[in-house]
Amino acid sequence: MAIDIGNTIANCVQPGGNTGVGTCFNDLSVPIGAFIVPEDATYDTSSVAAFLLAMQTATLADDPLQRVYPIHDLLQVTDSTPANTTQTFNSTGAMFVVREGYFNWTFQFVRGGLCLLIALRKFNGQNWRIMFYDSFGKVWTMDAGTALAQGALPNNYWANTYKVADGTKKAEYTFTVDIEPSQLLDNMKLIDFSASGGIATLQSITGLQNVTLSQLVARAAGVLKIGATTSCGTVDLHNKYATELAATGAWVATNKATGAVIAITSVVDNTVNGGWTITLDTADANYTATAGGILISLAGPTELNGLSVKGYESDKLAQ
Amino acid sequence: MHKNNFDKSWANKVSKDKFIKQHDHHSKDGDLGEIWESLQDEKPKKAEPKEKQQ
Repeated sequence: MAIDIGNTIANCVQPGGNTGVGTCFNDLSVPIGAFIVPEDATYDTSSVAAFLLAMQTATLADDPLQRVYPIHDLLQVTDSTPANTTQTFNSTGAMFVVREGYFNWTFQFVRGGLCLLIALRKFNGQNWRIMFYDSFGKVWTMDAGTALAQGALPNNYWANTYKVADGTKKAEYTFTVDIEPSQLLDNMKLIDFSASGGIATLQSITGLQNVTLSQLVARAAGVLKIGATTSCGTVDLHNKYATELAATGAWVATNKATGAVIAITSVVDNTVNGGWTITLDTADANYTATAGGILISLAGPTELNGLSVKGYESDKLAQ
Repeated sequence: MHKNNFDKSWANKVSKDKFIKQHDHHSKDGDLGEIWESLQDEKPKKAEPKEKQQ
């Protein structure tokens, strides 16, 4: 009796692919930017506008673990993807591909320099996904289901030590990703911005800058006098946002011991000291007179954005 | 100094005197009493007593 095995092994679910070529087709170009995205996050791709909004919103997420971290102006990519591993049958000369190499790409940047490199090194060894965009304005993502995209999950991501400038070339700031190839090939989802503002739109999705707060005058009862500068480059925010940050919603005061929020009754531009005078409600149950017992910070990136102060996150200063 | 520098909800909870005392370090920068008044929500008007029906 014959044994029918025709339906027992379903190893040919998709028998090849159609090879017709239409007027428009997808051609990849040089990757010139990237987005580091949370490992568990997916983004709406029901339209280009929806994807853009999702990414813009995520760059301002107050929770750093839910935030998108854009990297722009990648100037050089070096493809070190190994060739296929093959086996040659000596008796006949036949050669078969045994396995493919992982995508291994190294990106070099100049803009952002050491500050950006140090920021990127904080992701080393962690599980973050990554998307790229190329010079044609296409974002390289991984399919996450209907109208959803996610980043590719690198096998390895590493922001490298810099190579020193030597008088003939600039200091080299680089990061390397090693990605299982099907993620950005067979399961790739391209989001095409070429007809939606192109790379200029993608470059408008900017990352946050760290802000360092400083005490301008010693705390007197519930009155704090605080200055703010960018951590990299020490640009004084008071020069640009003196009015915008003179609002109670722009600041957060907490009790250092309990984490409880202390009410702020006023924030006034302090032109004498070049910062802001922040008055706390000393009658608030969470207020403490203990020196160093109060943490003051700027509000979260989303709240600051609502005050037209876009792209900053501050540290917490003990007062 | 502008009323937008102050927390309106807090200003509505406290008396004018307390507001002025809390911010007395700003007394040279403007009239705190005026600012307190400008921050006050409009109080709902009391309903006029109905005339007694005869």
